[in-house]
Amino acid sequence: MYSNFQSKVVFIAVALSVVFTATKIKAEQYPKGPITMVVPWKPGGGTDRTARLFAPYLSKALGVPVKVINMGGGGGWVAWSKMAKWDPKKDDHTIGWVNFPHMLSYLNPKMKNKNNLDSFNFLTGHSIDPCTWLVREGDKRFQTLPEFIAYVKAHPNKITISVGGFGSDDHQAVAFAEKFIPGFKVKKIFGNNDAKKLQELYGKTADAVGGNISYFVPHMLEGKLRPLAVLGKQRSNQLPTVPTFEEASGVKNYNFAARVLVAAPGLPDEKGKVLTAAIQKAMDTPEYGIRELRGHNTLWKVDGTKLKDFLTALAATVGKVKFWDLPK
Amino acid sequence: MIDDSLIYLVNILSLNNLFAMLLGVSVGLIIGAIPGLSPPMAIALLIPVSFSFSPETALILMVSCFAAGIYGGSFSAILLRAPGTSASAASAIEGYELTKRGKAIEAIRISAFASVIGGLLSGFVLLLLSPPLALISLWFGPAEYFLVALLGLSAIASVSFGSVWKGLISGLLGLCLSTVGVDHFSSYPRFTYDFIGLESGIGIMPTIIGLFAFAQGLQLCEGDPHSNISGLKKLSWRIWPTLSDIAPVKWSLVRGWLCGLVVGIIPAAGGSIAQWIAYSWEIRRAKPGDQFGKGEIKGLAATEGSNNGVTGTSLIPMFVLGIPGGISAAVILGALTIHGLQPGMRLFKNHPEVIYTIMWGFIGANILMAFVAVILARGYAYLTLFPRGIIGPLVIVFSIVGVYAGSNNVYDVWLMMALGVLGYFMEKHDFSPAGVLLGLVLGPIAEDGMRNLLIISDYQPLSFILSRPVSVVILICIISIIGFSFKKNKGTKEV
Repeated sequence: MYSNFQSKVVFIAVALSVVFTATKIKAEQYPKGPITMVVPWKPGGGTDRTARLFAPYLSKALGVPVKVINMGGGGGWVAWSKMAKWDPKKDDHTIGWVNFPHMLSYLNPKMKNKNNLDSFNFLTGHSIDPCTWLVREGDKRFQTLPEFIAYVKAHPNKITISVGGFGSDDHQAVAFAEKFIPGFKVKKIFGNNDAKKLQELYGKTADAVGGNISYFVPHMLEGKLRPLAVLGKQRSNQLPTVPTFEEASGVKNYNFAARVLVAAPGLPDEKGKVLTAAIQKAMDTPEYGIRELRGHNTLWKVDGTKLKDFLTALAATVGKVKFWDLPK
Repeated sequence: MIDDSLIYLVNILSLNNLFAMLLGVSVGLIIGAIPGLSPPMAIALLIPVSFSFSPETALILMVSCFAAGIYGGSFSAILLRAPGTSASAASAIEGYELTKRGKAIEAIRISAFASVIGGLLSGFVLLLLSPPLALISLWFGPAEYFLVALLGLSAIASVSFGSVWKGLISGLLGLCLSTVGVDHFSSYPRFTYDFIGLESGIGIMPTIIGLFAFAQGLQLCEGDPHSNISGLKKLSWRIWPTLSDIAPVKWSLVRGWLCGLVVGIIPAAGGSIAQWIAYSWEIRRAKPGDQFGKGEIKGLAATEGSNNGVTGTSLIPMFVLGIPGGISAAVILGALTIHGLQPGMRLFKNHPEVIYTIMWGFIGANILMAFVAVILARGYAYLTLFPRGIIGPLVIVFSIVGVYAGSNNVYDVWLMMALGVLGYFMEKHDFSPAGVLLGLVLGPIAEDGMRNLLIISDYQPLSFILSRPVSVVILICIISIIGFSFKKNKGTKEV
C-alpha cells in the first residue's frame, strides 16, 4: 500500500516534470507557427517582388511557413504606423519591411507624423540600392559627370532631369547638387516611376534621369543608357568601372534606397535574435543570392547598433537638407 | 518575321506550357471576376509558383493570367454591375442593362467573342510588329499625356446619358477627388486632414467597388426581395455566338479592337482610357433606334473588344524597351528578370526561342480562354437568377471583404462604403458614377502631364504643344469630340 502510494507520488512527480519540461521546451520553441511578412505597398512594386522572392527561403530558415501580405497606402505609413504599435506578445510572429528614405517622410513637419526611428524595432538591413544619374548612350553633349556638370553650368535651367516624386532619394540627389555645385541649375520633372523616367529619357523629354541602379542595369547592358556616376560612398559592385559622384566631381552626394526588416517594438531579445539570424541565413542561401543578382539587387546584411547608427546618420542628413523647404 | 517566329509555335504545345496556360487563364478569370482582387495581384501571387518552371513556361503563366484577368473583370461588370477591374468599368453600363433585360447570356456571348478575338489580334500585333510599334510609346511626353487625359475626360460628355451638365459635374467631382493625397511636386499633403489613409490619395480599387458594386448592392436590396436581376427563370445553353449575333455589331467590334490596339501602346494610360474612347466613338455613331445607356449590344461589343485589344499591345513597350506600361506589365517584367532574362532588343536577338514562345503562349492563352471563359461565365450567370434579397446583401458583403482582402487597409473599406453611398444617390438622380471614376483615374495623368509640360516648355505650353505632331492630332480629336457633343445636345433638343 505504502509502496503503491510512493510509486504514485513518483509517477505524479515524473509526470509533472515531464509536463513542465514540455511547456518549457514549448516556450523556448520560437517561432511556433506561421510568420506574417507585411509589405507596406500594393502588390507589384519592387519591395513586394523581393518579399515574395524571399519568403520561401526565410520559411526554410525558420522552419515555419512565411506568408506575405500587402498593406498599401499613405506612402507606406498605413503599414508603418501599425508596425510601430505592434504588440510584442500578440504580434511576435509578424515582421515587416521598411523603406528608406521613404520612411523619413515623418521628418516633414507638414505630415504631422509623431513616429520616428525609435518607434521601430529594426532587425536587419536586407538590400540597398544606390542612386545613379544616367544619360542616353551616345549623347554628344555629355557622357561623363564632369562633362555633364560643365554643360549644365554653361546652360543653366536648360537641361531637364527626370526624377521620382518630390523628396524622393533621386530628387534629393539633384537638390544636393544644386545646393553644393555653384552654378548647377536644372529643370526637374517628376516622372514618379522608373518606367515613366525611361520613357521620358528615350523620348527626349528629359536629358538625364536620376534613379536607383538595379532598375537601370538592363538598359546599360543593352547599350542604351550611360551611367554618369554612382551616388554611394563606394563604387557599386554592379558597376565597378563607374566612378562615385564624389570621385568624379569632388562633391559628396550620397543617396540610395534601402530596405530594412522590423519586428514588434519591445519584442524579447532572444526572439529578435532568432528572426535576425534566420533572415540573414536565408539571405546567404546561394540560390536566393543568384535570384536577387538577376534583379541586380544588392543584399545588405547590417544589424544591431551599426544599423541604428547608419539610419540615425541618414535621418540627420535628411533633416538638415529639409527637402520639404527646397525651392522647386 | 512570321517565319522567324513560326518555328517556335510548336513549343507551346508542350505539356508544361499547356498546363501553364490553363493555370494562368483559370486563376486570371477567377481573380479578375472578384471585385477587389486585381490582375496584378494574381500575377504577383504566381511569381513564387513559377520559380520551378523554365523561363518561357513561367512567363506564359503570367501573360495568360494577365489576358484572362482583364476579361474576368467583365463577368462581374456585365452580370452584377460590379466591375472586377478598372479596365471593365465601361462594360458595366451597357452590359448590366442587357442583363436586367434578361439578355445576360447574349451579353456574355458577344463579350466572349469580342474579348477573345481582341486578345488574339492584340497577340498577333505583339508577335509581328513589336519592335517598330514600341517606338510609338516614345512619342508620348508630358504634353501628350496631358492631352490624352483630356481626350479621355471629354468622353464624359458622351457617356453621360442624363444631362451633359450632370455628367460634367460628376467628372469634376472625380477630378477634385483625384487631388487628395501627397502632392508629387511639393510633397505637400493635400486635403488629407492628417489621416494617414488619405496620404496616397483615393485609390482606384475602393472607388470602383464603392461606386459600382457597393452602390449596386444597396440598390438590389430595394424592391421585391423575391424577384431576381434578370427576370428569367432559367438560362439559355446557347453560349457560343453565331454569325447572326455578330453581323449586326461587326463594325462596333472593329472599332473597339482598333481602339484597344492603338491606345494600348501608350504606357500607363492605355488600359483605362481605351474602352471609354471606344464607347464614346460608338455613341457618336449611334443610329436612330439604338438604345445606348439602356442595354445597347453595340456599346458592349466595342468596350469588350477594346479592353482585351489593349492586353497584347500594352506589353510591347515592356518587351522591347523595358518600359512596363502598367502594374501588371511591371510584375511581368520583374518575373522576367528573376528568371535571368533582360528585356530589350537583346532578348529578341539572343533568346528568340524564349520571347516568341511567350508571345505564342499569349495567343494560345486567348484561345484557351474562349473555352474556359464561357463555361465559367455561364456558371457565374446563375447569380442573376438568385432572388435580390440574397444577391443584394451578398454583393455588399463581398464588396467589403474584397476591398479588405485586396489592401489589408481598413481606411479603404470606409472610403469604399462612403463612395458606395454616394454612387447610390448619384445613380438615383441621373448623375454619372462613370464620370467620377474617369475624373479620378485621369486627373493625376492630366495634372502630372500639365505640370511637367509647364516646366519643360518654360511656361509656354501652347507653342510647345503646337510644335509636336502627336499633340496636334490628339488636340484635333478632342475638339471634334467636344464639337460633336454640343451638336448632339442641340440635336436632342430639337427632337
